[in-house]
This record gives sequence, C-alpha cells and structure tokens, in this order.
Amino acid sequence: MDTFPSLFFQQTQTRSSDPAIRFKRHGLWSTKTWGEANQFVREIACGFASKGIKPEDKIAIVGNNIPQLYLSMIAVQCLGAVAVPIHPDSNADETTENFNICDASFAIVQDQQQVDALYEIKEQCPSFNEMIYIEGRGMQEYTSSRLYYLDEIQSAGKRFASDHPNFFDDVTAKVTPDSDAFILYTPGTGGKVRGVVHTHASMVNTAKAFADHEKIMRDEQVLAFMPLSYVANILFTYTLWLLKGFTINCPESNETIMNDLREVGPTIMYAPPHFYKALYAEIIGRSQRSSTYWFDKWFALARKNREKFLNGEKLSAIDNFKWWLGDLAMYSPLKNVYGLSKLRKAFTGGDIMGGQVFNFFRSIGLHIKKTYGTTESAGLISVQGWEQLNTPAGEFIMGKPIDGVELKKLDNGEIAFKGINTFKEYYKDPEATAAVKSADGWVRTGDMGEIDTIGAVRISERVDAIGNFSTGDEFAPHIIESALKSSPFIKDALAVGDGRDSVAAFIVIDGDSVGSWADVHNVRYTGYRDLATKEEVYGLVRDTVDDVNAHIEQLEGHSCPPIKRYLILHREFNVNAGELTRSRKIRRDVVVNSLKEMVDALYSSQEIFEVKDTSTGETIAELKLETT
Amino acid sequence: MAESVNGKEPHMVIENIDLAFGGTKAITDISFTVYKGEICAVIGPNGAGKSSMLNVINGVYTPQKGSITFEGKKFKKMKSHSAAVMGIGRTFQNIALFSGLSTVDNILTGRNLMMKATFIEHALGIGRSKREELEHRKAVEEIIDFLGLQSIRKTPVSALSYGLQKRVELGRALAAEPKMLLLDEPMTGMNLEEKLDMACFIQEINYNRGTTIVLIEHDMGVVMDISDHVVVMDYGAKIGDGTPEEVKNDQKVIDAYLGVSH
Repeated sequence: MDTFPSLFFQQTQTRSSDPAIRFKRHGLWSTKTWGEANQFVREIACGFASKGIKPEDKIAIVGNNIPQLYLSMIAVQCLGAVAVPIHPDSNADETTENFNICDASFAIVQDQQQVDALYEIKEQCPSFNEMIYIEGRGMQEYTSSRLYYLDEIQSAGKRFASDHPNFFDDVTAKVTPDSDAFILYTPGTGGKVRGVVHTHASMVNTAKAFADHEKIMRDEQVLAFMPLSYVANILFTYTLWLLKGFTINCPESNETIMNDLREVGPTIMYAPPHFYKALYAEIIGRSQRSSTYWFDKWFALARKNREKFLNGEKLSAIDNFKWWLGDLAMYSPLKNVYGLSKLRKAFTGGDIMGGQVFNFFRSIGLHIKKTYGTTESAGLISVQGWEQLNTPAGEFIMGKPIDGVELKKLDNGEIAFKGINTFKEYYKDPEATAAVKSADGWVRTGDMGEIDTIGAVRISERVDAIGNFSTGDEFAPHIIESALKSSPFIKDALAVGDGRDSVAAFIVIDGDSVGSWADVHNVRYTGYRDLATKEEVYGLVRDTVDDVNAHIEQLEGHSCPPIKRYLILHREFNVNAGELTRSRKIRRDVVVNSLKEMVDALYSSQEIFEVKDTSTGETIAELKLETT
Repeated sequence: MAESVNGKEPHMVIENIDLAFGGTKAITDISFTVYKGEICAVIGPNGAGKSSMLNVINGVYTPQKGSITFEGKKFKKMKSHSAAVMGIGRTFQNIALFSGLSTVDNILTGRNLMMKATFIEHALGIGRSKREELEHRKAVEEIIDFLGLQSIRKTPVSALSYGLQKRVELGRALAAEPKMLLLDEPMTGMNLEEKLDMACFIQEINYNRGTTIVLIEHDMGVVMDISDHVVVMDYGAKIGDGTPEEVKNDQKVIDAYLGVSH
C-alpha cells in the first residue's frame, strides 16, 4: 500500500535525474529533476516542522499552478499533515468558510495578493495564524513575525535537518495509507460547502486504477492548468504524477495557457468541458474570419464520416481516403496549432459537455473521453470506453466503473458507488456524512441515472434539479441545457419548468464567439449587453433553439417537452454572486431566485422584459421574451 | 545650487529656465530641484508648459536661459543623446513605439546603448554578439516579468490596447536602466484598473530600483497618492512646490485649478 510520500520516494530513488516538474521563467522553460525536487521537499518539510507544523495539522494551500505549491503539498504530506487546497479567486466569505471548516492553522500562499486577502479574513478565522509566501515581490514592507518567506523556511529547514538528521525519515515513516491526505471542498451546486476528507489510500488507489485502465505511462507530458484545488487536478495532475513519475509543466501565467499548451504539447490531458467548448468556439470563430471555403469543405467531410459511423454504416475506402486527405490538409495542422498533435488521450468530466462539441473533436480525430466522478469519489467513478465513445448520444453515457469500484441504482433512481475511491468523511460533520454514506460503504452521488446491461452508467440529471410539471410529469432540465450548450454561441443555459406547465429557458451567449460572429456579419455593437440584445443575435439563437427542439423530440429514452419560451440574458452568470460554482457549474436555486421576476414574465403573456438598475431604477436593457 | 535637505541629495537642479518659441513664451524662469530617489510630479492645467519642461530636461528643446545640473554636472543645454547616456530615460505622451515590432523587440531597443558588439558582429552572429544577446534578452525578460507582459511577448505592439502599449513603453524606458525616469502622462486614457496597475509599477520601480521619477500627470488623485514632491506650473511659470500636502493647501494652486475671478 502506498502513500504520497512513498510514491514520491520511489520516483526520486529510481529516476532522480529525470525531469519532474517544469515551469516557465523569464521566457524559458526550466526543469526541476526528481533529485532536485527531493532535496527541496526535504528542506522545506524540515522548515515547516521547525515553524511548528505537526502531523494532522490542516495546511491551506492557496495559489496557481506553480512548482513550489506542488512540492509544498508533498512536504506537508510527508510530515503527516493534511493539505487543503483553496481556490485563489474565492471571495472573502468563501475563503473564511473554507478556513474555518478545516481549522487551518497555517497557509502556504503564492504571492502578495493572497497574503493581503488572507490578512483581511484573519480576524474571522480563530485557528489561522501563520502564513508562508512563495513569491517575494512587493513583500518588502511586510514585517509580521508570523509571516515567512519560503526561502527563509528552506534555510531554516537546512539548519533543522543538520540538528535533527533523522527527523525527516522518522516522521515520513509514520504516514500510513489510512492517514488523512487531503481535505477538498465540494463545489456545492446544491447548498452548503463541505470539506471532503480523502486518505492517502483513496486518492492513490483511484489513480492506480485509472492509470492501469488507461495505460498511462512514465514518460507522459502533462500541462498543469486546472485550478489547483479541483479534485480532478488533485487526481489527474498531482496523484497521477507521483504515481507514474512523468513530467508536469506549469503554465507561465493564467493568460498564457493557450501558448504554453502549444509549447508543451501534452500527451495526456484532462480538462473541464468549458475548456474544450472554448477551444471549439475559437476554432469556429477563426474559420469564420479566414477563407471559409476550405474550412467548411473539410469539416463537412469529417462531420459526414462521423455521422455515417454513428449510424452504424460502414465507411468505404474512399471515405477513409478523403478523411486521410483532410487530416493531411487540415485536421493535423489545426491540432498542431493548438498543441494537441502529441495528445494520446484526452479526458473531460465534471459538467455537461454538448454532443456537438464532442462530435466535432471526435470527427477530426481527437477522442475526448468523458469521465464521471465526484469530490466524494476522489474525482473518478467511471471512464468511457470505445463502445460508448462511438454511440450516438454518447455524451450522456459515462462508461463502466474503474476496477475496485461498484455501482448500483437506488430505489429513487439515484446512482450510488462503493469501493477504493470512497472518501473518509465530511470533516467534522458526521450527520452530513451519514446522509450520503451508508454503513456498508455505499455513497449516494446525487445524480439520477441508469446502469445498462454491460455495466456502463448513464447520467440523466442531478437529483435536486429534477422537478415536476403542474401536470405531474417529471421535468429534467439537463437534457435541454446540454443541447443548448452544444452550440458554440451559447455559454450557459438554464431551463425552468418545475411547477409550471411548459419549459422556459434562459440563454447566456458566449461573448467571444458571438462577438466574432458579429464582426464577420457586420453587426455593430458596443459591449456584451448591447450584443446580447441585438436583433441579429436573437436570430442566431432562434435557429439554435429550433434545432434543439427538433433534436429533443427525436432523442430516444427521454420524454422532455420542447422549449416554449426563452430569453437571452443581458449578462453572464456571475461566480462571485454565487450563481456559478468555482468550477463554473450553475447553482440552480440561486439563479432562479435572483431571476425570479424574469421567470414570472416568461410564463406570462408579456413580450418585453425591462431590466432595471437596482440603485437608480433606470431601464438598462429590454429583453425580448421569445416564443417558439 | 541647492544643498542636500533633510538628508536628501539633489539629483537634478533646474535653475532659471526660460524657453520661448519665437515670441511665445512657453516657460518663464523656472527653478526646482529633484531629489535622489523621490517621485516628483509636475502638474498644471493644459498648456501650462509641463511637457515643454520635460523636453528641456531631456534635451529635445534648448532653453534660451538657465541651466540644468544633473548629478553635479552643470549643462547650459542638454543633448538628447547625452541625457540617455547619463541615465535619463523617458516615455512619451503620445506613444512612440515601433508599431510593427513585437513587445520583446520594442523593449530590446531600450538596451541599444548598452550593446557593445559592432554592427558587423551582430549581422554575422559572431564575437560578442551572441553572449550580449543572451544577456540583454535576460534583462528584457525580467522587465516582462515585472510588468506582467508574458502573454503578449510576441504580439506586434500595434495590436495591443492603449493601456498595454503604455506599459510596453515604460518597459522600454526601464530597459535602459535609467537613474532618472521621465514619464509624460503615464496614465492618460487608461481605465481605473490600468491606472492602479501603473501607479503600482511606478512605485515599485522607485522602491526596488531606487530610480528617481519625474512624472507629468493630470489625475490629481493618483499624483497626490504616490508622489513625494509636487511642482505646480501655470502659464509657463512655477506657482507651487512642495509635498502633496503643502501643495494641496496652497491658495495659488487652488486658484489655478479651480479658477478665480480676476
């Protein structure tokens, strides 16, 4: 049985001169080998210990993807302490809540920005009192005795190690697979934020099952670009990295990710659906701005082949030859431009990803596999296999569970899992734990679904999103929203219908892709709000909605009525107002509540809804309420 | 010549400068001292002669009268080239970048004076040129890091927003490692966030590198927040000189800014 420290030492001992982590500094990629990482981790771990970090302490980790934070997580876990990654863009209330749930005493933060943010909430966090920062810029005038620079910690660690030569080995030997390794916060689409405790064993074993299933190798290149605190990042970047000993590459900054992606050329990638969606929208946008003839021709060819394939028709030699030509002329060069040509395996998960996006990438030879997982399941329950990749509506089928995990359908239609990936508990919340985790180990996922004859799971809906029409029929918004979000022009969509007699939808357009569409079609606009209320944009969205309605009626296995009324929202959903979670999932109840008047208007005979400024009462936008 | 005051050493002393274009007097008998390591703001209404003052310091204009003493050396007239060699860098009110070049290349031009290798060496890539290029590129990358320009490293500057172009221009001035930096309206045309960023950069340059900064600015809020010393001009003459506090309470300055009935 392995722990994070034991995995780390296996890598440092067997391949000490191989690259462990790369980062871009001053325009050049620099490398830390496993050997260098080993020395660094030992020194800072001793430094942390000299400042009083003890086993089982909860250590908040706040920042972006930088090598020092990854290595700090290892150091923290070597000491037997628990790493608590926290999203760096969280607002003060969220951060306070995150700190207080786990009683974090120490925080390891990236830079001045986070130091300032944490100083503000310090009063409200009784147990939090010491901070270590990594980047010294702008920190000259901070003189608190409870604030340390990582470089000082490192030198303190060297001194501490020479005074206590056996300390590090002794303390890491005490870490067992059953020790707590992480507290991860649930995104919380419905209700309260909870701290999910994972042991070394649950994370490491899940990663092992995944690596075996997908044949992940030791010479992969991975770009670490998801927020550090996501469970998917902890599993697919951090745990898998220590397990296989490949190289992770940290982007230069959040703004340079697309460029870094091209320079790194990852071989495996896990990215949230909105990443692929943005990439898709960017490719479509580019194709509109350049010579559309060839783009259209080659993409149409790829789409046709894909459709044939999905319909079970056999592709002729000529079809294959044409695709090969298309690959030569367009698909490969296109993938190369975005740094995807070395990509062997691409994964996504965590939210709806529309079929149009899936099929586009699959049609040009990039087979994105959908994974299904929750924070409680260490980020992974099942992965799509080839059989699901190539079925129509494959976007709803999440594949078979990984080895060591079982699935079953509960009486209410909810999917539950049990196995190696199961979380230990919600930190200090036995009641909540008992509510989802039964005594015999089954954990409720909160998702409705089916398990088919070969054991693959099909997810239809969040339990708390399901409602009933006034007729008593079941209303499941997921299918409509996912179909709407398939369009490159629609960023978010929310369908309502609970307690009503028909379906109404809120549509949030994608400012970038609609903007570039508007440029090409000579539609003038001043900003997002103006763009969202343009007549031409209504036309664009109307086409999409009509498509979706036609599509829904054809779809097998679902009996969802089409959209009757909809409006295009004059703004995007807001993360800071709590309308979206940090991982960009819609918080249904919050949105429905904040847009209550609009919902009522959609179910009235009104044609126009006037949006008023809350402070001045002026009309800032007139939204058309469209009827299909 | 001004002596050191409160332990502050004068960096540049401007004495009795008169500047006229034909019959139009732009600057009349202006004297003030910029101390080492301070942020000195020159403010005043439109047409007060602020930019002309900067151009005199920088050697673009030659004053009819008066002298400039920079680091103890007295000049009747400053030459642009020698100003640069002595360590006076500047940015311009209207951005003056090479619009077809990338961010990196634009900043690299700021290192021009420090390049020792000859044209032939550079053209053939022999001798000192390679080592020098690495060295200068490193200095440029440090500036890119400092100003947060990583994502636009290779973008032609003509494709950048106004705020970013201003930042690149600051980067180019910094690349010459100046002892004194003249900034001509560094924040005009920027939104609030860009202004705050720029204010932080100016303070950080001043604090970390000890660079003396002389800036012209319209935005009084920012000026009062970041400056150590403010010189107020109106109609080509100096009407106020002191700390932001002193200047704020000076009746003459209030009159010039708020208008007064004559």
